Amino acid sequence: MAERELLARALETAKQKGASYADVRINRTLRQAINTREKRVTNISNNESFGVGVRVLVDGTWGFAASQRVEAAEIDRIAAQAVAIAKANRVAQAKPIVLAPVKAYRDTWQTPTTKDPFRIPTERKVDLLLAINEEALKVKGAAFCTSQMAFVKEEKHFASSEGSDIEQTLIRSFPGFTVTAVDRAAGKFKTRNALVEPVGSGYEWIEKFDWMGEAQRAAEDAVRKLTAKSVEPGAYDLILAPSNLWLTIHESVGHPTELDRALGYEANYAGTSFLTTDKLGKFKFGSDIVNFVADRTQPEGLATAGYDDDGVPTGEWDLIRDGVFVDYQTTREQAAWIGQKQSHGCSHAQSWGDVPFQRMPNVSLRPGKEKLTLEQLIADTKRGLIGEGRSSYSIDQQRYNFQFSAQVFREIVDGKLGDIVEDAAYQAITPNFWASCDRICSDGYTLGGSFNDGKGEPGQSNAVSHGCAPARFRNVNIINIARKS
Amino acid sequence: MSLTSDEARQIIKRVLELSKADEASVSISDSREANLRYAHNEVSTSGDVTNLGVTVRTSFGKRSGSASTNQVDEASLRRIVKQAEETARFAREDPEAMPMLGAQEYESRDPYDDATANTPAEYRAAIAAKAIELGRKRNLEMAGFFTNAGYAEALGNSKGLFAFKRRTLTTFSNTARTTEGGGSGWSGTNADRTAELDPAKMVETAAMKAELSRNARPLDPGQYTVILEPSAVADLLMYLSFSMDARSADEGRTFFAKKGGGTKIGEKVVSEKVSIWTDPADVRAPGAVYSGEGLPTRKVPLIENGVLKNLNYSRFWAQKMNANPTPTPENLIMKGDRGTIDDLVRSTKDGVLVTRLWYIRSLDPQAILLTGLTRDGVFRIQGGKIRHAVKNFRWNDSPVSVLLNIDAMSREYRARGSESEDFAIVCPAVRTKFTFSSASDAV
Repeated sequence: MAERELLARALETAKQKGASYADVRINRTLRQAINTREKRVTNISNNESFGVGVRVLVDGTWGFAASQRVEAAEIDRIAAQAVAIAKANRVAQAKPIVLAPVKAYRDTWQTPTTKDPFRIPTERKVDLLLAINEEALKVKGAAFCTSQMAFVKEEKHFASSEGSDIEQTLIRSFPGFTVTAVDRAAGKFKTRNALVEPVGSGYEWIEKFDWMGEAQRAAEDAVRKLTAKSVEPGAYDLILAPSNLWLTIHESVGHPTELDRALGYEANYAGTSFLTTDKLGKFKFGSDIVNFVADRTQPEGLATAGYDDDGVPTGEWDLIRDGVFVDYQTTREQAAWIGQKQSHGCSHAQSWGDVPFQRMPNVSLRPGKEKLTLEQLIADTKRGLIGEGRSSYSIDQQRYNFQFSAQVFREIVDGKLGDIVEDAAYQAITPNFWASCDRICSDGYTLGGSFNDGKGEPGQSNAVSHGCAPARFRNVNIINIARKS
Repeated sequence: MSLTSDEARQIIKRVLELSKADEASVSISDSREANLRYAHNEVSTSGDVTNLGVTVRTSFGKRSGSASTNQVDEASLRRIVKQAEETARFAREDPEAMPMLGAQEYESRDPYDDATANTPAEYRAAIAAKAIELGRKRNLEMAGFFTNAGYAEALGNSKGLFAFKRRTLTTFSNTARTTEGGGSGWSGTNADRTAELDPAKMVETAAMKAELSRNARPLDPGQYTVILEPSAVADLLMYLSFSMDARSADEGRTFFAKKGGGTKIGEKVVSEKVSIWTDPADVRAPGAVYSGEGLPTRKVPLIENGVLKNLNYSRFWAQKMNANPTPTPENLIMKGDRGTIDDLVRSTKDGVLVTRLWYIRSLDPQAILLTGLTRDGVFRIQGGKIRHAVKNFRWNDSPVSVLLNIDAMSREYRARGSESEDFAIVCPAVRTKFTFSSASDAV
């Protein structure tokens, strides 16, 4: 039976069993991972996952069932099972779920790429990774180098009882490496990860990155970190490069603007949000120059797609405008919770076997309006630090108190870039931190991102990008983590 | 109905027949996982999902490659064998490649419970409905998650090895929040059989903690005498175990590396009160009969009376260092003392009780220094009694320091950490020194 007929069969069975709404997804996901260390290839794996998931509404209550057997009899079984689960769950449903309206779409969409990573010979990828290791280990004092590439290709076919039929192909790539320097006599070791980010793009993106230059810089930094001075804790003006700031945006802006968190739907796991619905349109989240946009259409974004897993076309909207909190991330189910008529298209399931729920779109900081380069920003800073690269990150369950580190912190003294300092982390309260943002560069806008962002029970992974230009934050509390407090 | 040993054997036989490699191994994983989630005092999402995965690994001399699929038709099996063999042919020679294991002898444990694997949707819905009802009565918002699952796994290779294991797992957790947003309490655990869980009691514990944690008072950051409940201890033990790779220690890049070279095996690393081991035969947290490449699992002391006894050795590193291959643990058991958590509170003059930890991340792997938050119930203890709730903290501390400073422990509990939901851990609550680094207004 053809795929489209199987989709129709799932919807028909669900309707016959009593569903007022149903959608079905047949997904095929290919994953490739290649790992090396020094001169060795430690892993090459290729994984394929194929299956079907049916979601239904019965009397305003959800049910969901899924199977890896994509065949007529099994589709009948899971469609009926999804309805049976929904019926059983009615006993714990307070008010019926109402979906925001969406048109029926019959469409296809795919990540714009020129080089499908699954068509690139494995040998070529292995050669590049081993060359990175070799280049890093040329630096005196660099003891180890691990490197890896991961690729994902999702083929998703969605159909709903409201008439949509949407086929999408999404491609994501995630290369990286870590250099370790060891001083055995002193019993010390330091690492430095590549300042490179995963993207919603193909192998062409990997080919345009300066791997050898970054391998050398990373190795030199790792060695220098062994003898770098420990940071003196206190208040500093902090400049964050996009390679570091993206994760702070993700944790302190992306997650608290999720509507399910704000209303308590993640209370048992990921947590809630300090951005409660009474603050919508009023709360001063950051300084006047701080503007955050949610955008699932952004080129090379990891969360970029044509449609979400509710069948809603993706788009762009403001979350924080001129420093004020103005909107949330929503799905069809959630729009009515805050009186909105349409979904922002944030429904996502990590696979055929997972139920769709609200996941983060690409959330980015708009560049500054005044003409400003990173060099000018450093020159404008008297006593500060500049942080590059994601490192340790932790934030509380309402997204207030966070503590982030960096792959490398360098001192800025009297407008000049100084040496590496070690053991630094910035600790702040979210709205205070964004209120302290006094300058955002107009140049240097770059996408960073998370290949695997966790949320939900059962846990699901989402990939999401965050763009920004370098920005400065005044009088940020820098702690020395080696001193424990 | 989960995959049987005979069915697994047939799939493995078929895949091995298709392979032309020098050596080939096939692993199979079969699962049925069902769940129900509720929040905001109503059911939210739920599901029932079946899956079956097959992974083939092929080797030509010292070159190897693997491929996997979740389809078991002839064409799919042929495709992954071809893909694994092509990958192997293009792979570099791995100087550390080890020959596959031959037939092994395994213990005959089968911790599988049909009733748990096939728990009906109505059972899950009833748990949610009761929790929500209690929430409404007591002006609390309930959010919780119940799962039940059955798993079967098999491993076979061209050298005659065949291994099969099954297990069931159920998890339940419930968060209660006071409706004005000022208090939050949690209770959660995992078990091998649904019948071992007492959801009503756990919901009551979470409700009581939420009510007690209203009007939390701030406390200055600093080092305190702290009772960490078993969930918090479980998370710290997980992070400790992540650092226990022998090779990384020999290479000088973990806490367990000895200054000047080698590992700290044989050295005292934490308090002599502390003993930690893995024992897959422990009925309180049964582990599988084999792990990874098919090695039989066994009881392994990790830390005995404060002294490091063992690290995890891959087969290659064990051969190189003349040690026993020791896979990563199937479970973790930490020896406790007598008495309950309440007894530990009663014997504490001045301290802080921490329900659980949250968002734990590494700060410095050299010292296993971590950061994270407290969550869902922090209380001040004075004169052996809980006096009032305390606002949450960020903490920066190390499991090594926590285990070094233990002065009292409760009995052992089956515990579930915030970041180790499905892993089987048995451990006590501990009284120790703990460093709160900054205050958090988060509830």
